[in-house]
Amino acid sequence: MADEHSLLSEEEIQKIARLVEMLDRSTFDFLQVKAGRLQVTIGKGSMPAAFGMPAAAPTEVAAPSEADTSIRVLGDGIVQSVQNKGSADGLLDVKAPMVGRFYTRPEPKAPPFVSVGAEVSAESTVGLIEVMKVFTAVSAGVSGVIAELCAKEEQFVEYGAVLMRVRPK
Amino acid sequence: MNISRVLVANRGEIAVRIIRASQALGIDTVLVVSEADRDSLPSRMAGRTVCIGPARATDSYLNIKAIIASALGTASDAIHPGYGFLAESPELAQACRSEGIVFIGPTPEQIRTMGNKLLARKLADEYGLPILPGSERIRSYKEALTVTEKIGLPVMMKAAAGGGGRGMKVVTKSGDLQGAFESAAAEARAAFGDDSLYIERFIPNARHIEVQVFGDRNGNVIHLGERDCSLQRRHQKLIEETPAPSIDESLREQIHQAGLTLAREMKYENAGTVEFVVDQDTGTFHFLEMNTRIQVEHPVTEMITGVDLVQEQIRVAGGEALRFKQSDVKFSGHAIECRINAEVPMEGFRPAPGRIVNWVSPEGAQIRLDTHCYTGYLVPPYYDSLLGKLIVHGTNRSEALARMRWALDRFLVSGVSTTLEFLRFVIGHPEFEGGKVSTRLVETLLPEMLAVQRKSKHTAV
Repeated sequence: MADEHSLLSEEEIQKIARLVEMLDRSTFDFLQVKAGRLQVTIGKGSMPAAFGMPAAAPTEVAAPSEADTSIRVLGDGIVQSVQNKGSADGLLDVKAPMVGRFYTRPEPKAPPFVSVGAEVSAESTVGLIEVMKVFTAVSAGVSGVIAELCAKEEQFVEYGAVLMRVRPK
Repeated sequence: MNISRVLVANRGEIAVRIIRASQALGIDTVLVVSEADRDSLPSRMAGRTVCIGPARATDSYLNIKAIIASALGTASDAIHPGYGFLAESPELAQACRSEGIVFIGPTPEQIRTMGNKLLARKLADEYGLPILPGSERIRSYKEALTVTEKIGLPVMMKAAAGGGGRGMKVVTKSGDLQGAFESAAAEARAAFGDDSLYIERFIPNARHIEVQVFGDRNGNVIHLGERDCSLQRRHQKLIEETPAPSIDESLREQIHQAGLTLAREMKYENAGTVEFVVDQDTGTFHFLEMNTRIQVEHPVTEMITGVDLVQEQIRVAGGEALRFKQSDVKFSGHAIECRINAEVPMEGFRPAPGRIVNWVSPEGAQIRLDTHCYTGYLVPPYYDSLLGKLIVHGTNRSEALARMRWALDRFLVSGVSTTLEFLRFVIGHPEFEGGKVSTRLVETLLPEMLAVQRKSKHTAV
């Protein structure tokens, strides 16, 4: 597919093809490799939880840099390019899990759940989204420190909208 | 009219259609999209796009709360549900009513009533429409056997919560009855959450003829003619036309009046279609079901009446009275529609999503294409395989057929497999040309068509 391939050089595509072959011939199910600006995660079946975060130690290249594109090669050969937009500056996005109205506070008069500089864990509530009078808590999803607040009180947000950004620990 | 912003709760070609109709009325549009449709043609046409969920329909286009939240969040006055998805969801219509949003369609009660196919059948009977010999709800194989002995084989086992060609099983031998009953009930439970079944006599040599009806909020109800949708494969329509060829004028009029009667008695609001089956062996017609939404094949009616049905839907939903009486409705010429799907006929019509490398569509007078596709478009795998609808108009059927043949010949799509070659075969076939249509035609032509395709496998489409 033209769009995804425009992110990779011929050399990078060859590297990925060699990795897939290597994995196939081994007894391992999953492989995660950082090479330059690429992080490649390949495997069969469902991905182990440990692969969710971009935390694997680099196996080559002198200067490890944050990957801004993960390539997932799924079992049936489909290459899926997943943009980790936050990684360019080291921050991770907290995204709206549903469309609705975003609330920064538990109640109108109460202080907001978090402000810039607040420490959060993955389970910390950072806001609420209301859909037809039903409120759902939004969790940080990652431990770290709130770096940016992107959505305002009572703002209508779509699914996947960036609500705030976290500098991970 | 008190609608200034419409939220389009659908995707693909019908989303394009609704946005166009809204723009023609000077109304702003908001489109809800799943992540897979963020960069679609309708999303570029809409005034605003709201992403409401991931690709899977249950999390996006079937998510009532997300759709209502989007309407409220964008200050949309009305929601148009299109067809499929939530178009016949009484829950969506009710949620709109509760939140003060105009639902562009009938009332929740009308949707609920006609959505229960068994109840619809009962109502049609009460209003004097002819119905097929059949049953009430059957709860056991024994009941099914009793009914079948009374009305005779072959029969069709139907899910009360089904419709639109889903949840139906034909039984031709009494030995198959028990198995058909059990599997039909299980499938209905899984697909519709309701295993209520009923039985109707099955008509083997049938024509599927439906009537377009339209009502406003003041009790004015009219019909806009019939459509012949006999060309089907596994109960899914492939080719539709109007007027229905080779039927008696008096039968045509009776069918119009029957559809109109049902809609009038119900005080039906907005656009709807009353479907009938015509038994070609006996020349009789019977009520099948009513669809309380705009239909895929609505363009053929628009071509012969000059009425923009989607615009009228919005007007009437906005409180306007119907702008024409029955005597104002005039029919001119003949129209045919071909549905073009991303499917591989040679492999059981399996869906074939992927990137359209080249899309070259026919153009000319009396040729219309309703589509969301274009060169370079990535057809997603999550939804139905409809790429577009090619519609032609002619002064008579012969001219319309010639125009359709011409248009299909100049329709080139590469990158994805399509049913274009299959459509060319059917349109060009003497049976179809001669108006000898029936619900069996596609199945009988299929082996012949596949044999021809296999021989010319190296020809590009």
